[in-house]
Amino acid sequence: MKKYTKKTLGALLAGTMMLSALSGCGAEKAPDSAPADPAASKPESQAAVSGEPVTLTYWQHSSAARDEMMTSLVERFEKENPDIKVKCEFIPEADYSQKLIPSLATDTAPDVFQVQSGMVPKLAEVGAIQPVDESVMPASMIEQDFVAAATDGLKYQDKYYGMPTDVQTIICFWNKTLASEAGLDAEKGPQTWDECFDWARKMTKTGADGTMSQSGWGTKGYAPEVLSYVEQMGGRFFDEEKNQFVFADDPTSVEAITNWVSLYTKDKVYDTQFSKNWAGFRQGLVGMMLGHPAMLGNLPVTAPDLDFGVSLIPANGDSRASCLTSWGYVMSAKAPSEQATRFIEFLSSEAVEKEWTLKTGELPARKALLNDPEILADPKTAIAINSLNDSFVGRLQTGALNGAWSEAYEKLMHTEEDIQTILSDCQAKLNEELASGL
Amino acid sequence: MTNKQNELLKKAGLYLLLAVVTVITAFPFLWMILSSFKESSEFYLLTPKLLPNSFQFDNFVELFEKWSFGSYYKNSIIVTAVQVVANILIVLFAGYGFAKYDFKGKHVLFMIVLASTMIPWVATIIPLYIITNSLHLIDTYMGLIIPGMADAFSIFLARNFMSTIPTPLLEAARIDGAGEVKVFFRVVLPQVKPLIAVIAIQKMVSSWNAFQWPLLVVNSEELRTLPLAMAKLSSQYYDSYNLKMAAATLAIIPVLLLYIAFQKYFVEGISLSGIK
Amino acid sequence: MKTQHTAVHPRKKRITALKAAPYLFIGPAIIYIFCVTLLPVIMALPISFTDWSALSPNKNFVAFDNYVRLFHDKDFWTSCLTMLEFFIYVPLVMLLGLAVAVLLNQKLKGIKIFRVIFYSPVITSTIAAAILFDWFYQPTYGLFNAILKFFGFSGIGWVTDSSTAVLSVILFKLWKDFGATMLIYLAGLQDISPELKEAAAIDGASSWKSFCRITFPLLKPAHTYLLMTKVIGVFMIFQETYMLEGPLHSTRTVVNYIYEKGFQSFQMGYASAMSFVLFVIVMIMTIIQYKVTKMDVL
Repeated sequence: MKKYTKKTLGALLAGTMMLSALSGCGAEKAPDSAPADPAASKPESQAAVSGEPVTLTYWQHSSAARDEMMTSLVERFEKENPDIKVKCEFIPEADYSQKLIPSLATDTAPDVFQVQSGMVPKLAEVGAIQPVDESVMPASMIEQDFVAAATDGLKYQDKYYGMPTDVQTIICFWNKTLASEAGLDAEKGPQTWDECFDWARKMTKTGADGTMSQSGWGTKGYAPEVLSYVEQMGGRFFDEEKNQFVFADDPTSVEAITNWVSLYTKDKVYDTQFSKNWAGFRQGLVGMMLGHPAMLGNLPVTAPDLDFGVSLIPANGDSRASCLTSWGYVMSAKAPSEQATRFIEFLSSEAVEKEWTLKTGELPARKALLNDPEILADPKTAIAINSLNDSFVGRLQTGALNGAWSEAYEKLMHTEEDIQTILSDCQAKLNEELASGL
Repeated sequence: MTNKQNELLKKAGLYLLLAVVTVITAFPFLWMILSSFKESSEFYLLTPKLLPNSFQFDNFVELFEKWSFGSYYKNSIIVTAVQVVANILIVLFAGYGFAKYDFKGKHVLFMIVLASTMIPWVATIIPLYIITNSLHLIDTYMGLIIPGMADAFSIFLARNFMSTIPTPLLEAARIDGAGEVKVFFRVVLPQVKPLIAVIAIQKMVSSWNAFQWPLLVVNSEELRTLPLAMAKLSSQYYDSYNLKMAAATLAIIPVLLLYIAFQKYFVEGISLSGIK
Repeated sequence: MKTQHTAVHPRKKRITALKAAPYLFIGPAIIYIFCVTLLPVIMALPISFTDWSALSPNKNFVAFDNYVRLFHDKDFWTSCLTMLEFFIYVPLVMLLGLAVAVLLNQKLKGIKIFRVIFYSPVITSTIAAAILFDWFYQPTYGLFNAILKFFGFSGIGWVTDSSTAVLSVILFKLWKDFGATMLIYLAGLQDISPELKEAAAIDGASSWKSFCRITFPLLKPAHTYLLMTKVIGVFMIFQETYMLEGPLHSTRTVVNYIYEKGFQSFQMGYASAMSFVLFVIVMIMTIIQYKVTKMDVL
């Protein structure tokens, strides 16, 4: 692969280049923020000299509760740090990356922003983001104070590029009424995978003509669910050292996934044509769901009459491993390192995380908060917090990776194709995605 | 059967047809409006109901009080108004130029106009963003408005319709001593009121609902337009369907009113070709 | 009337004016299109020869790699085939629009109200409308299957079934867009003088015959415009298929695929290359249309 230079392209497309140059086209600009050298662009020294406060722009994906919370947090932060001003901009979640990309391609990126954890290595590799300032947040402190599964995904080449937010694990939800009807212990919930699969079958109702009238478990292969199961069964889904997906070459993983798929294809505990899974759960058509603790706040609003139980994810022996997904607070390459890190430190401080958890229901990432009596006061929230104890980092945390996985799982559910072939294809696609865009 | 009976039967048939089309078109629309009064739990009922449990205006109140929809409304109106007016001028001028003149490079230029609609937005939106940024127009009204100021398809439409204006009509005006610009404003424009109405309505709809570009170019809360605000009503794990329906209902009102105002031009029966 | 003796000089002036006038008329549009569309296209072209991720300003020149890759990319060609299925939408929306426009052109009491009602889907936000149709399409508890069952048919999978997903999106698009087609035809119908039709009626032509012989051909400006724009529109389908997504990529069109590669996989170079290939295909199709419909433009 030849190195791209202005000369080569100019020779090829002289005319077009002229035009772009005339328009002051930023795309051809030589990279002014060299990837390996984030220290090169630190405008904060200027500000420090002039005594003016540094203004940080901050982006997060939006929801009413989060936006309100963040606005009040920023007020507090500015009071405590008179040398820093923060300008918050809230972006619709569904369009977040579409908004972020052009800003990264130019010099209009925000100083501090949230990204899905899977984006961190990608952005770090191209030099779009910089590691957190070691003088403010040393790695040793991060390792000591935070749940490893929440920060592992934000590490690239032994440096932390951000702090976790929007932490989610997988826990189990079931409809108590439907469970009792099927003669199951509606208070306790399924404790092992055998029980869980059994519950799924028992709560499924299918008419004589084969049409479903009730689904035992609305599973359609949501990646964190399957990953949790594979992990508990001792499968190797991802090779950290090679930075590659390896599940298709690992017989234990393939067996676990095959097991999981048979719930849909053989036991027919769910049918995508029956009902949407979460909508069905709200309507009392689906007996059980695995999902994020975020649903704890959501279900009482969207389904006030639903009587549901919550427990930790089913276990295999001692393992309650639950796949952790998160976003990270990161800072762009051009951000003033020290100030930006101070803002990130504030956002992930114990007091803020606690308040955030209590108000938005999202999980904290600080170990100290796992035993906080105030947070553990609500029994359902306590279950969500406890799920962090045995969590591991999910590796399908970008839109493209998740898309490739869903594509494969749809094939597993709806086609006759060989499972091994589908998984091998999927693995190849995922590894290609990991390598692309760098 | 008498002629009168025949006529009556025909009318009854037409009304029946109209009624059928009305039911099909209006039903989802009606559903949306009625849904805007519902609570969020009503969106997950096993057998959905057309009517809300109670006609409460909480959703609308929340949109204005908590989500400051008033300001989004204002922005959308400013952006749409400027774009619609600019579009009418640019498009009618161009359509007329292409329709009623012969000149060097006409075919190439027209093809360029058409070709500009044939490239997916995915490929051009980042370069456009880069240009806008280099002109320091990111997060400004100018940056928001300018890239949506003319619609190439409308130029095509204007060209097609204006080519049916008889040339002798223009020649007559020229012989009377009218300059080219005068011919356009005095002779051509009065002939094409339905066309102007169509172009205005089309642009109004597309400007009012524009999403991709405003999403990229707007950062501040103060510049947000209605579609951007609507997108914020869904978050990662939760769609506020009730608020979305209320917002969509609110968003329709101004466009609907303007459409009603414009549509009288279709009833007037102005003959475009001037053969009255 | 101007007097004759000054004829020579003003005529010369007039000719210069006639020569300059068209450029002045089309000038604003051309400048505008150059800045807002053409310039970005010109900038995107060199991008298609790089491996740009769009996550940073850095990029490497890869010559024709992206174009070569595209020809071996099965997913790209599958998405092209999916897009082809959407072409049935073009004649359907034109016929529907024309029929409704003719209906609305009748002199009936209250016709104005119908003109407003039939246009209402067009002005509805696509996002809100797609949410509604998503509910209506639900196989077990959705509205449409309830209606089908009421009439004794068995329900179908709509968007959740890969064999009916495209059909479902087309139905949605028809509902959403036929009003826009209707509007163009309505404007076209206004353009036809009633005298012409009356003359035909006096000649004893039935209303069907007069429609075929007089009205339909006279609507040519509307036909050619609609055909051309709807065809290009199908090539560019994105939002509807993005919101109402069928399983197994059954509704993934080319632009959806380009979007995935550009904005989700961060392969903006590759996405640009695909965009240009699509552009060439659309261009060829448009030129063929010109020749077939004998448009007087080229």
